[in-house]
Amino acid sequence: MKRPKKLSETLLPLILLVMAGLVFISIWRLPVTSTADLVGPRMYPWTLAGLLAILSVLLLTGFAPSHGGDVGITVAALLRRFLPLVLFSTLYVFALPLLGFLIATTALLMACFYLLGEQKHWLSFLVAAGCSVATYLIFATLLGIQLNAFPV
Amino acid sequence: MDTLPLIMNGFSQALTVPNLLAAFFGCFLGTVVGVLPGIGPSTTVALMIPISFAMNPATALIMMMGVYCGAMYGGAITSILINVPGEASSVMTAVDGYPLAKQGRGGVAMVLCQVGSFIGGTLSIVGLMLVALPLANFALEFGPAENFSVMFFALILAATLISESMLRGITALIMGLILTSIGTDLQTGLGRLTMGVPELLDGIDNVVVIIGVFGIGEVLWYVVSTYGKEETTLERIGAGRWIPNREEWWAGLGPIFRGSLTGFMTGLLAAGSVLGSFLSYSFEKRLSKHPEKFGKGALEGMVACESANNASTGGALIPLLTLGIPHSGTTAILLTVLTMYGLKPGPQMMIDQAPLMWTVIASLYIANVILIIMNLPAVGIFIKILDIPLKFLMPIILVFASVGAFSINGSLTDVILVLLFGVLGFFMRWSGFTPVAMVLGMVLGDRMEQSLRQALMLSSNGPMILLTKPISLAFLLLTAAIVAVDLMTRKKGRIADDSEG
Repeated sequence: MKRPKKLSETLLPLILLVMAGLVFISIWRLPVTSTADLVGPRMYPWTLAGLLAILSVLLLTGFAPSHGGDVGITVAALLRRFLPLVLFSTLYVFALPLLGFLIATTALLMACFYLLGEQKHWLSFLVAAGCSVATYLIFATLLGIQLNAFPV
Repeated sequence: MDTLPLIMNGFSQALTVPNLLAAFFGCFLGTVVGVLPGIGPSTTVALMIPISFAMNPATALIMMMGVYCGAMYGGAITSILINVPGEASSVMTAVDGYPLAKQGRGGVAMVLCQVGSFIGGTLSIVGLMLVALPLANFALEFGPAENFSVMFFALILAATLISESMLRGITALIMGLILTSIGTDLQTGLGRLTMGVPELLDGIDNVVVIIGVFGIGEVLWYVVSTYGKEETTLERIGAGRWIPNREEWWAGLGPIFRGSLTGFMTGLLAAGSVLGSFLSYSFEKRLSKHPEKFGKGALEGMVACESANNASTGGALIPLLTLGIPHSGTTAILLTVLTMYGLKPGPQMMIDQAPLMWTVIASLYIANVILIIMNLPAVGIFIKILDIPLKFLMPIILVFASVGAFSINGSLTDVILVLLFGVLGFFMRWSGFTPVAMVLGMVLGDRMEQSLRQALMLSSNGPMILLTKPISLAFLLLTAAIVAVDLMTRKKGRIADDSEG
């Protein structure tokens, strides 16, 4: 049995182990029902949480063969690309009701284009604004989705 | 009852100008809906109800069938081009379709998918015409125990066949099954795993997970994995040619017919198109001389899924029209529409309302013809997406996916969830897990739990009910056989690798 050394092989199993524990605790708190149902609302998630915990431990102890999924992923890439993109996207969700769809989307797209190396800001703006308007027209105008174009 | 005069009469009704226009409008709308993430065919069919008040029943049903078929065709487009399946049934198309696009064969993949969809859709209507009633009776043999076993079989196949490691595959599957437990328990009304968030009482929409792990996950993966690489290698995927060559046609032909049969049969069952597309993918992988190509751009796997996906429409209409049992959200809404017009779906409807029913069946043929005529030339237009530089395309996919998630319920919570699932999709890929197993677990998990609980409630012998029902037992034995064969194959592979090493 080999112990995995790569972060990519230990991080997710660890998270899943914690998740299994949370599921177990959350389901434990459910009130006991008087249902005649053999498999009540507790049993199915409990069984799954138990299985998930066992599988996570097996993965942590190196039962699964090594994989090549992390090829080319560096800590620098995570810090300089992954985190900013997740941050921009999170800010976008909060900016949508405040700035409206068109401004928030144009800003998000321009930030992403810059992150991916586009230096011509006028081109970024044109593409971002054009895409925002087109997306708005498709979803809001054509399909009737309730999107506020501008701040309310 | 002689079918030929009835179907001829159906065609004469369906080919009138108003009905043809309704079919065309429905097909166009359905394709658009299939392309856009978030808005499913069931929502669109539901939105069509107020419009249909002004129409006669035949025209309204023709329009809605057009939406239903069109959505199945359209789902393949974004799955192949940008790895964003608009629907759960298109997930398997993305598994090999997107790698094909990245190899510059996106156009070929799309053309073969359209042809596969056409053949699958058409064959399923032939099946609907010829064997509707006997097959509907066969479908009635599937009670909760049988449904549980067939879904269990499909999910274990997912874990073993798609993932390089069975352990990781099963782990991903269980993640999906746990996600389906979130929300209100249908039998007791208790909120499970909601962590005090009221929005989670309704559960997590499958489409949110699909858009997140595939669409946003792909964007995050691209952005991170290309860090520090030369700009020239990242410019664009490129449209490439879009007419398949002779070898590609031949490679696709067998899987199209096999996928159509699988899709039609599974359309009859509760799991419908998702199960059909997945099982046909599994069969092709088992039959292939090069199973290692699956997941990396195998045409056979992709066209089989897409044919099965479309063939399931005809299969799913059988229990609806002959028994009045809907197996999906869309067929449930179609049932509402039928009852709204005073029709009572069931065996008698095919006799009492024969002219109307055969007009609708004929319109399904016509819808398939309209769809292939409309969509094949459009491949040349859609494929141009791949000419957009990736540094522009990826952020646009991010926005598209976010708006798609918002459009499901008009809720920002879904946008946050889609982002969270995107992050999860990234980490899964980084850790060697396949998100497909998780998504399949999520799509089938809810029904699997309900089937299991119903089976146990009906049983006087506890879980033994799963072993005493012949169909259920057969599927469980098949599952055990597949796991055993897979374990032996992997062990052999490892021994061979060790001896080579």
